[in-house]
Amino acid sequence: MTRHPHEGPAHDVTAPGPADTGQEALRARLDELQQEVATLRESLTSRQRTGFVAGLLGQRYGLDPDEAWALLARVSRDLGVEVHRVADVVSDVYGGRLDPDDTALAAAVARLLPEAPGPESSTGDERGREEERS
Amino acid sequence: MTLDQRFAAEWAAESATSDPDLLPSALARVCARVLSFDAAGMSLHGVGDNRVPLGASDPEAAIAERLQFTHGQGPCFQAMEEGRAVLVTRDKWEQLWPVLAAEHFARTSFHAGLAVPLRAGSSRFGVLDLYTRSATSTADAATVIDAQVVASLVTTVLQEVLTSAAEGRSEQQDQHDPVGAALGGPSWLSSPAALRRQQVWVATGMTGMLLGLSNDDALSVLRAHAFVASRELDDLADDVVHHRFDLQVLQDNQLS
Repeated sequence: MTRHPHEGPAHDVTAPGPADTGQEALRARLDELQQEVATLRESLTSRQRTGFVAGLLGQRYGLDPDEAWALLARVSRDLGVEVHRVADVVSDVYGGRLDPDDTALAAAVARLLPEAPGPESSTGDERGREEERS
Repeated sequence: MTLDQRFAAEWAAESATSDPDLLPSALARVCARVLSFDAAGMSLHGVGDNRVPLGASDPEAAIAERLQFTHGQGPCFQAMEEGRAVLVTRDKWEQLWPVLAAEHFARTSFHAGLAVPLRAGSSRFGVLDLYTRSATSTADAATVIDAQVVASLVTTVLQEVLTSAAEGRSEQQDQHDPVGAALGGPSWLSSPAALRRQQVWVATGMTGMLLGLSNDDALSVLRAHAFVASRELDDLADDVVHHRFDLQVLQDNQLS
């Protein structure tokens, strides 16, 4: 992202110079700002969705958030697919809204996920469930 | 000195001395100071409930943000939804958000406040919350206009200074926040407060998995429990993620 020299307050419309150039510069700056805001909002959305999926996988497979994230990252690496894409697909599968076009990817992801260690809904850590089963 | 000049001078002084990781909070302090409020906070807003604390001038401003987030309402949410400055007196707090108000006035010493959207053109991306401790202060239309000027200056600062900080994400930050390291994005999404907020989404995913609920419904269930237990949602989420809170309790609540 390019940095601009300090141009004065964003709202200073009294800056000297030909009106057209001034307006153009303002518009360009505004476009740039709006693009950065769009990028920021995408970051916020990705992070939130990754959080949801890390929780979902953690609960499903008895992993802590770091392990769940590592699992997502591993699947992403192995498939050569961006991690937020993997998270989207996992989220869609569990939300019952998988896009038909993503079926193959979902199957590939499923093959890389661990065997479920026990009942789908777990409330304790691995050790706890081991004790329950024995 | 004009408001712009005062802001520039105060920001120059603060940013020269502040630890780069604490710049957002320093920025909040500058906003409070130049507008003659006692405290300020800034938050970033994505879609719906997706809200991340960016900086706070002091611990009480941080508490105020967490309470609004826990309740999913308050001046900050209203400003974001309506895209306009929201001025709130104590009476208005109690009228509009009675349950939140009770906690806000119990846990902070703030009386009145003003919430102003942060925007780039028509795109809103966050809120500047301003708080006052005086019971007799009368913020007026002039204050609101000044606050909107400051909000636009904040946007400029965030873009110029803090964006470049994103390019310089530290290794230490990446270690604490592998998700942020991989997804990229501004380093301020890796602050301690932002990482703590991130746990709310993890706890939501866990709850949704256990109870067979959508993320929205799972978040509502967690919020409901936070209300009943008079806890902040960030705190409850931390307990859920670290298995100190048994999600089974929520399942039993669902069934009963």
